[in-house]
Amino acid sequence: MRIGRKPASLLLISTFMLLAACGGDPSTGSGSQPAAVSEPSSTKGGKSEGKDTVALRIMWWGSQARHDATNKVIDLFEQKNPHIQVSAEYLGADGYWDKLNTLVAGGNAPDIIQLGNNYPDYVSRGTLLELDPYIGKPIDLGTFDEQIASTGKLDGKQYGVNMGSNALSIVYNTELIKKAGMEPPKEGWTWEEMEAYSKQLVGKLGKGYYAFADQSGFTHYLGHYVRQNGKALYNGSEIAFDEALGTKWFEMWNRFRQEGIIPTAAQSAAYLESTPDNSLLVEGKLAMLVIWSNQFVAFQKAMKDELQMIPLPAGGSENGMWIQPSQFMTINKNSKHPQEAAQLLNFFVNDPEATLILGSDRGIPGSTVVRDALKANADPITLKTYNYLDVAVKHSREMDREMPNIQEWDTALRNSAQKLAFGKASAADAAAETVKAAVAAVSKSKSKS
Amino acid sequence: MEQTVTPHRAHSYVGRLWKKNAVPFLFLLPWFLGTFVLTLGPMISSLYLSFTQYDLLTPAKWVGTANYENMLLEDTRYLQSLKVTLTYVFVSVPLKLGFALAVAMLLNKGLRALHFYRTLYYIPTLLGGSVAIAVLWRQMFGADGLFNLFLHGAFGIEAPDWVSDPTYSLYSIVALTVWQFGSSMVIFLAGLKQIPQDLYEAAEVDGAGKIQKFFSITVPMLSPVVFFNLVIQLIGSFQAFTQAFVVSRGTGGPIDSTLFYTLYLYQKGFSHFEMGYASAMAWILLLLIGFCTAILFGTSRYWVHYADGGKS
Repeated sequence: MRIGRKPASLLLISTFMLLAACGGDPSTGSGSQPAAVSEPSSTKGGKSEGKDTVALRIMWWGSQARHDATNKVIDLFEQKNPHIQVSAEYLGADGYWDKLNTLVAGGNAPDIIQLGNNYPDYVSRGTLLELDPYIGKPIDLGTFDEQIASTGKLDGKQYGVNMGSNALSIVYNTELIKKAGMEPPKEGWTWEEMEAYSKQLVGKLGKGYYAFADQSGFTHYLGHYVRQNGKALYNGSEIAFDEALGTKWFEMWNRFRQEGIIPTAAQSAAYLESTPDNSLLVEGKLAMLVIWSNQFVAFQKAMKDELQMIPLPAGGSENGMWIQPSQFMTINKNSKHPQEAAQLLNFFVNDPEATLILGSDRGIPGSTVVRDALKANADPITLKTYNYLDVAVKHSREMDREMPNIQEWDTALRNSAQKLAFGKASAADAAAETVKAAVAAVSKSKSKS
Repeated sequence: MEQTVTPHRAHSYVGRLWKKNAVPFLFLLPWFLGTFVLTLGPMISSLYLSFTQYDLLTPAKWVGTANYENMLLEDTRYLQSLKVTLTYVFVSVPLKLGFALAVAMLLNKGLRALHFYRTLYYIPTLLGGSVAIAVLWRQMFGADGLFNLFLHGAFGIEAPDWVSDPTYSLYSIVALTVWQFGSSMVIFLAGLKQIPQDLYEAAEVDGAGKIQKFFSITVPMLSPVVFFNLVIQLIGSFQAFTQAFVVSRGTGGPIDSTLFYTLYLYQKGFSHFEMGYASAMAWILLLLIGFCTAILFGTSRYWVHYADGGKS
């Protein structure tokens, strides 16, 4: 094989072009678009009954179970409204925001969009339709708890319909605790009680077992701690916690690590504990873990040992916990058929058949009528999440607005927590870094609007 | 009238060039079309976006060179991603080429089942870019992975978690890359087969040893192929993404120890909604790769020997 001069210079040019091809569009670099399944729902054509057919598009993220249930409800909706055709786009949480933002940027967003507590970001960018003209009819929020319905309101205007509520919880492995010969942890215990309990537990279980996961880098757990001290990660206009509090938080976790009640730094980096397939709790090495209540069913189904739920540790001067909407359904401002889209939204939250199919996968529904019906039909595992939410309410106060650009801050907090764990930063340094990152994330959102 | 024009054109300079090179141009056509239709447009818009603040949802806002200044002067994560990528490039490329050359020389010894071995060593390259292998890598080099079980069983060593310890995590990805030496190896093998055997025979007559033959015949004769492999691998390594994305679950962690340039670029563009910043990063990467490639080409005349004296 010989490469002469001329081909060599051609190679130089072509290599430039090659890399340019990658430079221009980062998405081609990945080559692994998350398994986005896009499937127009069955079209029951032929029965347009005088009216023109209306086509709606809807997009959500979730697990396979959620996809199946939601598609079933859409089919049902189409049967009852033959002149409306709904095509669904659904995928896992991983690639959802990339895809949604690209669609919005291209002016091609679906009519109905599932969003989380980050929906104000989309309001400020002018993506969402004001729903007030549609409240009452067709969207009936009459059976909703006022507090829950209003979570979809921003500055007095309704933008989203709450699809369900959840709360943080500590889940614990009852078998592991039995094995240690100890009483299960109790509702309302304090941080100090949890620490003492954990030391005893680890002492009895022996090497290789841990009391709870290192979740010092979990935004909402820190949020709970900050709120207990009368502050907030974000108060709606700015960062409302300081380095001193952050330092206390990180020092506490350092102590947990020294006491051996949480896994080592490397183990914690390997097990992110965000899903059942990457969890020491599921592997039976961990007695307790903080998760969202609507994740409970998934974690329980992934393991044999029975799980139970209690609220997060108490402490400080105020209740740290909060009940929060897990998701919202919103309507695209540029939707050509807002009336029909609103009809579908209402179907999701009020239709007796539809709500039964959807269950509580998106959290516990906001309508009291629906909630009672579901509770009456719930299996024992799901029932636990219902009962837990009743307990959690007692330890909660009103939630704060979610921090803008929260993904950026999530990354920064996790990095600082890991630096601390691996001994590459002091608690004070880690706290200073996280506060700085939070301020940067928030100020970025302000410079935009 | 038209008929008289056409033959005249055929004799023009362009016409002659076309006549002589029609076939190569036709072969290049799909590639040219791809570049001009699909690549050039996005490239130009990315150059424009790199001077804006653009969150994908609201119109881009012109900010001048703020993205570039912020990147090079303030963003510590950017500098970290640069450090990770440069370390990766300068460690993995020589290692990979070294392995590829060593295996190619082994295979060149006149093995009976050459085809079989050549295929065997090429397989990792086919699999390597896949997500499945990167997932497997986690299992292999995790705390309780096969590799550590082996170390513990054979030598009684308590080894760290190679993937999740920031001291080693980058090198576990380097190992994953080096293992995929197949394509370079095949090119080396082809190059080795091109070296005239009479050169070796003549050297033997003159009393040259194995090492002397390697450095005085194999290395210079193979240098164009080394050069080719070096350029291709260098560019590929700067753009490494999949391995880091899967092994670190998209975080570039722990503590940004595997935050590759492209991974950070992806995070900025699609998780943090800073498409302008991401575009600026892409252009700096382009310049960086261009610079490194130019250095290789610039120095090549001192160490790359063409059999025909470079006159092609």
